[in-house]
Amino acid sequence: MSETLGGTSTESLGPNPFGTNGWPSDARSSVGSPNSSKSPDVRTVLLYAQDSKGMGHVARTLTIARHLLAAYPNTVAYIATESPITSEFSLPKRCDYVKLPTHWLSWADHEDDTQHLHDDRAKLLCEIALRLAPDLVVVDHEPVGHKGEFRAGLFALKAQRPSTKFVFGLRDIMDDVGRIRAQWQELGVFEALETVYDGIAVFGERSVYDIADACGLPPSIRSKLHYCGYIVREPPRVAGAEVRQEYGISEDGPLVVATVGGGSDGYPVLSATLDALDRLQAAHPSLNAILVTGPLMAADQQAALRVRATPRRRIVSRADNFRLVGAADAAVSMGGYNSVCEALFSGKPLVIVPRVRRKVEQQIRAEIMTANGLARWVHPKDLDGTNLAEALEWALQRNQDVHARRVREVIPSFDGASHLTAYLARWLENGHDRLSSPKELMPVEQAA
Amino acid sequence: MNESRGDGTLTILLYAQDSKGMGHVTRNLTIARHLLAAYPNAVAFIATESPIVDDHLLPERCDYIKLPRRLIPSGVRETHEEAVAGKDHFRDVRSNMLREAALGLAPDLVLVDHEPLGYRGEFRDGLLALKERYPETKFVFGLRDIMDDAGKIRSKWREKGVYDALKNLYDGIAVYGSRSLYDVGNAYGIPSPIQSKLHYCGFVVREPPQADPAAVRFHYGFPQMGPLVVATVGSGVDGYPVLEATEGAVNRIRAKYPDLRAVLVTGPFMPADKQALLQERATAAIRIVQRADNFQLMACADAIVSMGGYNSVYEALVVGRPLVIVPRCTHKVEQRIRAETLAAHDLARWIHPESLSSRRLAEDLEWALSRDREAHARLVREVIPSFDGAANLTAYVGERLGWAPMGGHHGGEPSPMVEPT
Repeated sequence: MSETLGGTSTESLGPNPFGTNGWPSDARSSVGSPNSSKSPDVRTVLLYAQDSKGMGHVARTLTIARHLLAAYPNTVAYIATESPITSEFSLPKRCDYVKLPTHWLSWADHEDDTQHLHDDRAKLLCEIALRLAPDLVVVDHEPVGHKGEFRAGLFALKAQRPSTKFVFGLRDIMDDVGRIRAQWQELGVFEALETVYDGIAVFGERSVYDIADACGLPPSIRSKLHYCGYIVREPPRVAGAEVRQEYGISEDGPLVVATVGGGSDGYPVLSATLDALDRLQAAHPSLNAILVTGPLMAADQQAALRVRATPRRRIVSRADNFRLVGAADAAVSMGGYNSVCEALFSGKPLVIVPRVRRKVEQQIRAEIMTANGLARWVHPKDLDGTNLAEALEWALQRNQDVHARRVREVIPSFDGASHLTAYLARWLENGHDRLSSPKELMPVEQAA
Repeated sequence: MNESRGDGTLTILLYAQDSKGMGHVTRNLTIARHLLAAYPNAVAFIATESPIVDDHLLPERCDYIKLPRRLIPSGVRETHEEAVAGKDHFRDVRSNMLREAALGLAPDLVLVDHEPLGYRGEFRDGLLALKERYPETKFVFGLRDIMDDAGKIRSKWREKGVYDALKNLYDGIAVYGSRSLYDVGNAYGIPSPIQSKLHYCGFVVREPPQADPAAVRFHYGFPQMGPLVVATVGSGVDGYPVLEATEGAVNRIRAKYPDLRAVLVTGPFMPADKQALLQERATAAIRIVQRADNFQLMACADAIVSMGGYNSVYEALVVGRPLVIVPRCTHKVEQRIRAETLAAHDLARWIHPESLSSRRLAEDLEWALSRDREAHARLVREVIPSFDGAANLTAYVGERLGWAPMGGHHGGEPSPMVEPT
């Protein structure tokens, strides 16, 4: 690949990705060849991920980056995202991110504007992809980017740099499959999966949710599917006694941990959890609880919960939820991928109150886990202290060892990031020695 | 108004290059906060390499675009040529990203901080393309007073074509400093036709925090009486020697000031082993903390020790406290010049890092502790009449752009913003 971008004609990039909007015909000519100036020993990975709400996608992508970078010491990784990567996360070494302007789209009132701004962001992504000239692109969740914004960039990169490999990373359940299929049709996702992507990594179990059937993937795409298993971040060390001491909670009596992600929509869940605890008081007089509001819950809602705190019921704004769940006897959470996986990984009976407003993703997840005997779920419209108390009673009655065994039967592994790393070896190794097997680098076994 | 927005929204693009530390980003956030408070119909984007990790720092209607940093695996040994080629490649990556962002945002105002054409000239193409496509865009270069050896800056500017850009591209040059302290026109050889574009705004500091010395002392377990020394070293990467010497100096002068107390802030990036070394030497009278609101601590101090960064030094001055500066003396002499200039005005004492010892620092700390606080504060105001740089810049932009301030905050008074505590 010795041709410079500036000298590349529109035709050689395939269909002009931006219509008549001025690119790349006015690309300047003073550009050195992106590939020749890169050190041949260094492999560049570009990851695309963003969160519309919450922080699940970016968190998972960071976990993936951490695994990849640990296994491939000659690799550097860039995450392209519109989400701010706040101090909640730590960037691994050899990893940096590119932040796209977030409000570019949302500030536009008119549809024309939206389209215009959308095109601009697509151009920005395209520039980043072409200039970084990555060896591997891993796209999270949205195969052609949010509202298709990465589509042009992916096609252009594929055309300019045929050696680049493309992997789509797919969370198991995304939404109502009919809706997904229609959306994919409209955005040209099937075409991208067919022609751009070399592989599709599924962060789930086929036995739990068969993505190919659900999304109606044609055989040519099915052959690219690779089930990696669920991904959880590196589990923190858990010592139940330590957690209880830290929160000033008595050592006797079971512990319920309730979490609601970022917290912006979690108030009803935590409020109902407190009601449920009131109801369970008689049967479980020494029941303890820690409720984590999340940093984004409205201040007045946090305050309303705090006034109901007691020595056995702690209300905190932030915590390492994964660590708390590890110390719990039963967990209450909403239905996000990370929350549910972390509770399952910890082997704790779980009560799920899924978010159901815009998508049915969380409801499907809740139903499936319930059908497998791993959780109970309460629909938000039926959410009250009585229903939640009933579900919690089930969770508290479960024998922990039996439950943990049941989890392993249904979900043998949460090593999704390790398996993904091994899966990508075919494209990243290529004469480059891997440091060691990714599993050795993973602390998963320690805490399991 | 640019064609991309017909809705009356004003778009401001700020470019803040910051390879180490957070100084430029902090200053640009302060500026953005003032501009956005004065213009409720404005939105601002900050393009920077630094991650803005604390969401609370971003004002409303402000977002950022993060440029990627060049990453090299530690095992990779590059030849000089490879390194240059790699850097050039990366400038290219960022240059194109900046260009696309600038053209896409089609800002009404571009405010470029510190490097008129961006780091290694990375914003040159974007600025020129923007000017060409949207001639009505206004360009303001924001100049921190002291940047480095003036001769070095002049030759760099000549080489990079900065003078041309100042002449042909920029509508205005806002100086975040005071002419009486440092005349940038003379120092950087700005020709007289361009000098008319210079506008001294005064120093830009964050909104001063509410300082409650009694509460701060209580927080650190200190008695209400007795002098307090505060020592800060920015993010802390290279600050260990300064705090080590401060700890020694405070102990040396304790015989003379038996009630002396000190808070030493390591910063989050001081290596853990160095932090631990300092922690071992903490006492009831000398507290070592990793993070604090340095500005607030300074406001409660009687004497301050800091390195020579723009923000640290001017935050100490705005609260009117005598200051001992241990400037970073790297390949740049910026901090040394700042230290010398202020020492020449009797506002500070300074110690070259090579002569840093607890004995020297004790001497200078005694000077600082012996100063009459009110006389010192008066002297600060005489030398530096204004720390309202961001407010003055906002007013200047209003004149320059014909933007009538629309906020209820006259004179660029910022609206109350959440500051980290």
